[in-house]
Amino acid sequence: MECSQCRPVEQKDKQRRLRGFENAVPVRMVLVGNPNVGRSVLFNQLTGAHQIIGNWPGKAADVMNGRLVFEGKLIELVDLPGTYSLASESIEDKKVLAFLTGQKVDVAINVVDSTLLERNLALSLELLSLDIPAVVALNMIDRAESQGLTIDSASIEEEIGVPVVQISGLKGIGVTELLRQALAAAERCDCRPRPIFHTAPIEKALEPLRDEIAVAQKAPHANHTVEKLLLGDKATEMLFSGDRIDIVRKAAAVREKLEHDMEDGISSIIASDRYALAASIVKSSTRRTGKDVMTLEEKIHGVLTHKVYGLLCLALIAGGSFLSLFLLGDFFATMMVSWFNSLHPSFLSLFGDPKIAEFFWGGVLGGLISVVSIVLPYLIPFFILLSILEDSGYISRAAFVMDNILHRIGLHGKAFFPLLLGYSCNVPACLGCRILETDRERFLAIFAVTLIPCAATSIVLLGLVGTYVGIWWVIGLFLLNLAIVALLTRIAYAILPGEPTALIMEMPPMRMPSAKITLKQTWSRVKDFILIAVPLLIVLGIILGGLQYLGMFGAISDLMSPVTVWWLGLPAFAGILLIFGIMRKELTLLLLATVAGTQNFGSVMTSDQMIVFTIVVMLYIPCIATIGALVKELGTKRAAMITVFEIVFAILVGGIAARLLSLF
Amino acid sequence: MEKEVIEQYLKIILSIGDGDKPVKTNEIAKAMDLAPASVTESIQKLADKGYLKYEAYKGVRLMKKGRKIASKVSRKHRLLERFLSDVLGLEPSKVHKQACAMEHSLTDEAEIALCRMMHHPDTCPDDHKKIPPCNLDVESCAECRAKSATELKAATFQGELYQLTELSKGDKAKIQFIRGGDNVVEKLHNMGLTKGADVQLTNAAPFSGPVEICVRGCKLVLGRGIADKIFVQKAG
Repeated sequence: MECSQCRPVEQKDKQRRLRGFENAVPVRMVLVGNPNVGRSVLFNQLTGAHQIIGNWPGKAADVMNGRLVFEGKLIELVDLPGTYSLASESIEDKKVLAFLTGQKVDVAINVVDSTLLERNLALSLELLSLDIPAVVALNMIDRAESQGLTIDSASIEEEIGVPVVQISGLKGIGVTELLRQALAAAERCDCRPRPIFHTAPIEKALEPLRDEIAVAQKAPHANHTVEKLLLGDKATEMLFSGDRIDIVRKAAAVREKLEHDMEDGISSIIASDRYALAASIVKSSTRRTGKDVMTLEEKIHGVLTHKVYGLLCLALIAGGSFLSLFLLGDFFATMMVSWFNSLHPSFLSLFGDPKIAEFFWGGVLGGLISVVSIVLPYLIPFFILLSILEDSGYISRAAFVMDNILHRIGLHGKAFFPLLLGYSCNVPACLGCRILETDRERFLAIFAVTLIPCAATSIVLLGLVGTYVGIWWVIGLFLLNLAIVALLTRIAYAILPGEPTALIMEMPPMRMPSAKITLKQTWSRVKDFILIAVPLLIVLGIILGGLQYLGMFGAISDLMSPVTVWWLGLPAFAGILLIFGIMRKELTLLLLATVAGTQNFGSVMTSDQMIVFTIVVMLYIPCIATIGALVKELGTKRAAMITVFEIVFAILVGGIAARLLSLF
Repeated sequence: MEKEVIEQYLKIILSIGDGDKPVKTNEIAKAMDLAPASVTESIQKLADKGYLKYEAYKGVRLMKKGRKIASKVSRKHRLLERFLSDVLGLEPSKVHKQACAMEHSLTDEAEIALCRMMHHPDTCPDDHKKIPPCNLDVESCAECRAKSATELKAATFQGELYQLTELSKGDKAKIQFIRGGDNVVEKLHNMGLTKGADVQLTNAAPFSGPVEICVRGCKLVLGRGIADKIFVQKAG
């Protein structure tokens, strides 16, 4: 690699270096590229942020912002969602185009996957039709070289007329040079329309139109506008609807002529044209050495997606993950709990009044203790595992194998990622549903996700039913949940208006998960959890401790007793637990000790009661954070609909289960 | 042999064999409610004319010439079934027989008009079998709608089309036609699946799940629903 001396931008003194720039106007650099080309890795490399990185398309569905200082300049870095084309109708793609044309952008950094140059350059050509200074970053250049691909970036530079830099975001190679080129491009502020990129026949047809638009000056980005008009984009046509309606008519005439001459639809003509150009650039600028042998990666891919072995692998990986998480979590949780219990007597001896000592131990410290001793032992291994699955690219293989099964319950193969994520936490899972294309698909997937037991719910399942009733009941309840998810989603699929859409997904390459990324990602997820959970738990602990101190539990529980005691057959104190469970579901278990006044839950609840209680906890409501995510994704009305439905449904199922269990 | 009888045989062989599989003569006899002996005789005649290949004990396989007629008749049959049930409101159990009687006299022009009027349906109503694609040389249904009938007649496509899902693992092909709504077609275009693009089927998921294809150097996964709408011409 020619620039081995280039190191990633130093992060350690970032905070110090940002000081003194409070009032500076930052240079805004925008990362644009296909999904899964390593924009997030580059973004993190540059800003030191911990954006979730995965090896599947569609994680970075939101616009990300970060700042850094480079060579005395303050830079604002914006990571736009991945897109295949600026002309398409999907939400993400429209967002990207709106940002590029509507906001101040000093320079666009087009991140390109060097191993998939042809497809990636098609977007570059489209991006260059906007009058924005741009730099192309040939990312994953190390991977391309290891595949025997040599890319002559000077030749590409000559063809497309903007700087081209070879980088590896993961290893930090070439990143400094990229920033330097981007800054230089921003300073040159070369916003003139570039020589346009079309093959000769289309170029000839477009030329007169382009001149007219330049003269009319109704819209910036003349080259892009021409294309939009040619495609018959209604919003663009509106711009010319007044005195220059003739331009719209001329565009329509050009479109008809092209369609007639090429015997093809306009969107296909334009896409074919762009791909043809991209292919010719790739052909003239790359050289492939080495033979086409079946690599180890391809062999593994073959097994994981095989008709028989693929399913076997999926079953093994899913089952193995579940078991190892259960065993690991149990081991660490038991260890931590006994350690905290051993501290209990010496803590009590610090206080004169035992009642006040209990208030502090159970209430104030209770939240902290429960997170450290019960939640983290399950959560950390889970997040590590999830990160490895994501980073290796396995999740996309699983989606490939599972698509048809998910299809039967009305979901999409792509919904497999959010559903799996749902087992860790419903909140990111709901947000992850954005990778689905239509509003209908999103609603269905989000609905299914909210029914899935998250890590917190699983803790209740394992801690209560697992410890006191038996592991087979835990598995049974998970299966019952799966059946309910399938059934309800299928019903929603049938009721919801609109047309279903089918799966279109890119298969990311398999790669060795990096320990650094796994740990970083796990830490960022655990940190988010701790930041939300611990303060909440302490405050709730104090409130609950206070209520207990004042002897208020009886009144609240009495109020709910028609539902909890009569219909569900639970002890009266379950009411207050269910209320606090809305905050975070594991509270139902953690506070059980406080409310029931014992650590041995077996003495206050029968097995049947535990099972019914767990069923209700599993189904009854998305926690408050998930409701927040629902409101954000679906709007207040539909969020309220899901929430109310799930409360009623959980109580219904819980009551039925109580009656069935009493028969045996 | 009458045209109607030939069409009937070819259609049934296509339907039983699901395109490419060899079909036993007694299966054909059962489906047509005829004696096996007379079926074998007719099959022999059809084989002589080059519509199909017949090997004793192995069965019957359609040749290119026969396949073309068979898929044309199936298309007309299933479009008619859709029309009879969706537009005229006949009971699904009755449409098959009615369509059988009408399919041989339906002209190509009427077939295109039917397809357009019913917004390019995918499957027939009674047993949900796929409606084969038309043989027009258009790139999408939108293009078909935009063109006048005479233009379409001029542009009749002469090759043999396969659905992407009909390819076997490793097969290479060229994209000829994508059926479906504008949004899906546009999305596929943007990902490089345009008319004339080379594709290779690299993998197919279990339980007739999605297929994995290689197009323009990158691997894409397409659900069955979408892959069924992409029609290709086999390479080589």
